[in-house]
Amino acid sequence: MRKYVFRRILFFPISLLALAIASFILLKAIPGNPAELKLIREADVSRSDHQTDQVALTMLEEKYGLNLPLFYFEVVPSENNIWIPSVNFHVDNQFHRWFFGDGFNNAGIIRGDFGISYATAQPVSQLISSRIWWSVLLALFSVLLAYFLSIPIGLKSAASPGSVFDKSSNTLLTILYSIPSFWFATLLLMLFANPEFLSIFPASGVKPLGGMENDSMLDRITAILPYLVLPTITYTYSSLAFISRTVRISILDILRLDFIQTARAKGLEEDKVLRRHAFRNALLPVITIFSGVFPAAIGGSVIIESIFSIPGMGLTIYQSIDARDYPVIMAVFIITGLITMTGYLISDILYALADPRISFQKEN
Amino acid sequence: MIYYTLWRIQESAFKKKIEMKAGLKQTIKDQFWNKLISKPHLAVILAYITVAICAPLLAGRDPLIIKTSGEWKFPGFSTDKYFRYSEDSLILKKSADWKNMQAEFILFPLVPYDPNESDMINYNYLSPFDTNKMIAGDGSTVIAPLRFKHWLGTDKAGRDVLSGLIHGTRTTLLVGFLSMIIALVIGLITGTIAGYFGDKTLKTGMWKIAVLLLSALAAWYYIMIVPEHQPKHVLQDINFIWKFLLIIFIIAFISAIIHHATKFKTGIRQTYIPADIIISRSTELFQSVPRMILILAIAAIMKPGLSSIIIIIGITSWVKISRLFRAEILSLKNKAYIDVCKSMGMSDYRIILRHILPNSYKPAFTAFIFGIAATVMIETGLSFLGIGTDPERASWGILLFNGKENFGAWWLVIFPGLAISALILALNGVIKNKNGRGSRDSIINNF
Repeated sequence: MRKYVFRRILFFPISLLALAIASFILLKAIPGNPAELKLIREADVSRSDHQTDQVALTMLEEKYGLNLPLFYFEVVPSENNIWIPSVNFHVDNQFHRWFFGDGFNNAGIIRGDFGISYATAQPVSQLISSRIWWSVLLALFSVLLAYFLSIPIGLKSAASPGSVFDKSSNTLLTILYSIPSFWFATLLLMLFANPEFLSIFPASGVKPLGGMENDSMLDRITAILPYLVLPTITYTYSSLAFISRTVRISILDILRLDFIQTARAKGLEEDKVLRRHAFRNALLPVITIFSGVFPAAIGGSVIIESIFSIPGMGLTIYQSIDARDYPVIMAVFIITGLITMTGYLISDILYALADPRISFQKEN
Repeated sequence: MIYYTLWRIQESAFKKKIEMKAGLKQTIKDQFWNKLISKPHLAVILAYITVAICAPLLAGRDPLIIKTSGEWKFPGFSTDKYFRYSEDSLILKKSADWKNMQAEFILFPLVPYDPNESDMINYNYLSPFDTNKMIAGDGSTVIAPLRFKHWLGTDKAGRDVLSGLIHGTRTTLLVGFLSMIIALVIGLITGTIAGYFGDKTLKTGMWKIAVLLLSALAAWYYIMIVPEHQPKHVLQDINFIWKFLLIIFIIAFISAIIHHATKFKTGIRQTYIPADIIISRSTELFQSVPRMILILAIAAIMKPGLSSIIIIIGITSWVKISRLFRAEILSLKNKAYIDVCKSMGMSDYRIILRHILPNSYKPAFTAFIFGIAATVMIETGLSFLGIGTDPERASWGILLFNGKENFGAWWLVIFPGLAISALILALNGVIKNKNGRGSRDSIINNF
């Protein structure tokens, strides 16, 4: 047991390092020079001096360290014979600067500094913390709403499998499950944010334009709320089908077991059997889904956020990949990876603690 | 008498064999056809597949059959740029005015429009209920006959929606099937190795690993790095994926040679390959990054196009299949009949190929079908965002994207969405729901 946990923890930093290197290589393989893209974006149309552009490009590249070699070593053909490889070593390189910092304005990710965004020139951690708020809010709120709605549905349909309610709810949820979220979102926008039809909710954004600093907290909330209705519905409906299905299946699995028979045999009401005995034991897989919420929130939902123009993580990632804004994307890779892997680690160790057979199996 | 007995024995053995074969057929019919497959859903899927296969016959600009100056011609089927109207007149197919062509016989496809063809008169969001116009042979504008009607309307540029839907079916199903085949192959191999061999079964000589690693490095150098530095190299313009496959092929070849050359040698120092740890940790690594972000990042590397989308979706969806197979094989591995196989001295490959994989066809099949459903959703979502798509190719997602620009054009939103949802619904329902291992409910949660 101790050996298993120790080995599991030992692998953790290795996995993280592998993730860091893999994401670095993956992102550096994307063609396109971020400095050049930045210059093109900020280009003054009237200025067409090629010389100045070249100077500006070189300066930017030096500032970001893009002129440095990528990794500690590179394999190139030697000068006189192309068939013989030679290895060049570089102490100062892009990976080193990103990972360990460059000594003056970047501390490196190993000290928790993700660098400065190329596109917005603000620190990545600041950018992410300002953006992640909306993603987390929407994900958390919609998942809680989905649990709130789907657990009663799952309980009721598991209580009488094959009944009219069970069949109809199952059909409806299967249909809901099959509808792609982007279509659902577009339909919602077409129905409820359409000036030609019903214009109940605003079509995009998360808050009204113009300053809200002077308003009171209550005013702010009432102003923001209509913007969140349609995204929340979109986020909720697919997990609604998924969670109520999981609840139903896991309760049905539990209901077959002996201790339910015992509970019924001792004369307990069916309602109590369901709530006290079956539901509590069936909760584990349902809770497991919840652990997926946080990585999903950080990843955001690229499609939904871009439909509703929510300034969350999904939209940020989409824009950063478009602008080759490496520090932001790599930060997202590392943070989501760290959280997901920690979740795996904790759940593996907890499972091993709860069920000694697992670690025994793994050791033998 | 003895001969007679032998003959009887032989006959009974033969009969038994026939019975066994019939039994297998019966089992397949019972287990697979009657119990696993839901017929109405299958019918819907087959209808989609038929539309996808027959797309050029159902929707296209060029007529399928035309008879001019006494000759039968099939411009819809040929790839020529020109159409020979008569002995002495050639017409460029692109600019041919088929609708007003003087011909003895003409048969158009069901929808006489290409998905990317702009209708010059019926543009700017023509609804399904609007009157369609067309230019007659003398240049005047008349009301179009029903045969040339845009049944599901047009978009802003005047592209026919129904034609786009028909050709989009092709794109979506192609991406779904091919990418899931890639994912299934990778997932099956890695999952089987991780599940069957575990950490302490695969043994090999240290020097073999060293030789393979060295040859892998050498292959990488000569195939990936040298062509970049040498002008006019044979491998200069070849896609990265093909180079990668070539490297894998070379390594497999070398390892096969080593394996056969050292078959009878004993006494080499051997070490375990922790296959399960390597594969499990790499699947974990893959899963730790949200899939959509990974897809976006890889899509930025590759050139947009159909093959890129297939590869991207394929290489990001093997992880779940691999984990599924690993779990499935872990549970099958300790069954008594596998022990019997081992005690009879069967090789691992034979046990895997003949006894383990055939018994795990159900989760494989289920995962494949649900994988296609998930792929359809991802593919349409990506083309909705405009990522990695070829603008020349019709796609349901692009139609929906065009609909999002003008909510007055409800037909651009409703019809593609219905097409997507119905396909996903059929795919999700085609496998009948049963409780137990490998059943639909236990696998659908993975996707």
